[in-house]
Amino acid sequence: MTGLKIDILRKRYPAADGSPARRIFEEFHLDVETGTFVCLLGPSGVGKTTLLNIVAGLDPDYSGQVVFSRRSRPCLAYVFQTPRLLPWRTVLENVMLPLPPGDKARNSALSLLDEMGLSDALNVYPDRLSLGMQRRVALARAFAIRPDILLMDEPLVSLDEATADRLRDHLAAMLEIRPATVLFVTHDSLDAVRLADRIIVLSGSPAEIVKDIRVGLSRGERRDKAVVEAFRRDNLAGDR
Amino acid sequence: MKSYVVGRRAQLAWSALSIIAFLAVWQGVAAFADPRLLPGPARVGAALVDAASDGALFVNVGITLARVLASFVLAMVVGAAIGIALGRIPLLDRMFDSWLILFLNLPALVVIVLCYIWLGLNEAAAVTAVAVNKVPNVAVTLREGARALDRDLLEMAAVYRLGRGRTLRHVILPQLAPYFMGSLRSGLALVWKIVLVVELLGRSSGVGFVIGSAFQVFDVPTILAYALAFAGVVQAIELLLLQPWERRLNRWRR
Repeated sequence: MTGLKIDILRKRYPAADGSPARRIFEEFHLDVETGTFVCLLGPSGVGKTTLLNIVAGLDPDYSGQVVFSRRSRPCLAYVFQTPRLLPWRTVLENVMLPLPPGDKARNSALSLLDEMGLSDALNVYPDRLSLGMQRRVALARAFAIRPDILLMDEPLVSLDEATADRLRDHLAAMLEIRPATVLFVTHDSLDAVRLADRIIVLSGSPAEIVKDIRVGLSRGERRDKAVVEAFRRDNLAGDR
Repeated sequence: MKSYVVGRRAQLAWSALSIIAFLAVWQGVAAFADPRLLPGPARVGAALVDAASDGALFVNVGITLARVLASFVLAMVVGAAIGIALGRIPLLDRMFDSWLILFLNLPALVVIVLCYIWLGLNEAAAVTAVAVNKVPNVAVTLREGARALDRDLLEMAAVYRLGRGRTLRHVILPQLAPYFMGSLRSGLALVWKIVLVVELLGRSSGVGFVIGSAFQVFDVPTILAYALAFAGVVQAIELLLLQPWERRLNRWRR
């Protein structure tokens, strides 16, 4: 595991096809301690996904730097907003994909898929699965590499409430066994309160941290609807 | 499963019907034509049996097939490599786009004649000439495919550090499969026709050579017999090799 220190001096999207240039980040700083579950909350277009892409190294077009505290090149997993599975590979092959080939990879993929309740779907192609199941496969793939840092971009969006609940429980259970530093993007404050150690609320252009809240709830309290609602009302009123 | 079998059977019945209709039309037209210029199916069939019985048919068709395969594999590998490189690297594309158009429009005959002049009247020249004719087509098709690669999946491959080899094998090549299939199909038809010309001009074996010799004595039944035999072989490759392979490649689709 490792923490990280994000310093973005400037990130802009240039004007294109009639849409004006957008200032995303200017002098933006965020430190995340090792092993923290951070939720990034904020309206669409504020730069949450951009931030994850910068941390993941997918977007080198910015000035500034991201420094990891313990390892210079940490093992990093990214659960994208869409599952991004290879449609021409089976569920099992998709989870084994990022691992060095061999029996060890196969066994760890099998046990992960078992934990995620996907044992019956090992040899199924992703397009034949529901979105909820595809998301679970993507989550299994992310944990397969035993990441130091786990980036998640709205992994619960457009799922029905029951499916989202189950995936949330899977995620919490996985993190118990395989701890990681998590950056979790969402626009749902309910998710944030139920999962996060720390909630960062972003707003504006360029984006600024308007709230930085520590969530000190116990596991039991997070499951209690009334407690979660109360926390949300007290701390996140107006942030949905 | 049952409907699949029935569909298969109906398909065979249609193919048989279509071939019978073709033979009937041929017979009908031949009845009114000079038999030396357009012999009927029976005479061509007899020529076919003749050529088969002394083994010449199999030897020549085999040799032509070997040349087709050699130049085909060469053209696919080189063309795919060029196409993927051009599709992925804009700088190369800008640089070599007009080269590609030039080679695409170079007449097959020019390439063949030049290859024979430069490399000599040998097998290497024959195979090279055919491959050079096919490479630009493959490159253009695969370039389209490489340009249309899914960015989301490439990002996924980058984040999970799949490396070049595994990204190519698991992420890029499966997306290019339909483009490969396309150029394989059109390629097979194009390549064997060019091989015949190459054989006619500079080899002393193969279907093209036989047709050239038959042309000199106006032996139309032999010309038609060899043409039909080779068309049959290509059809068999399509049915027995390409179509099952394509079904296998597509089994992940819903």
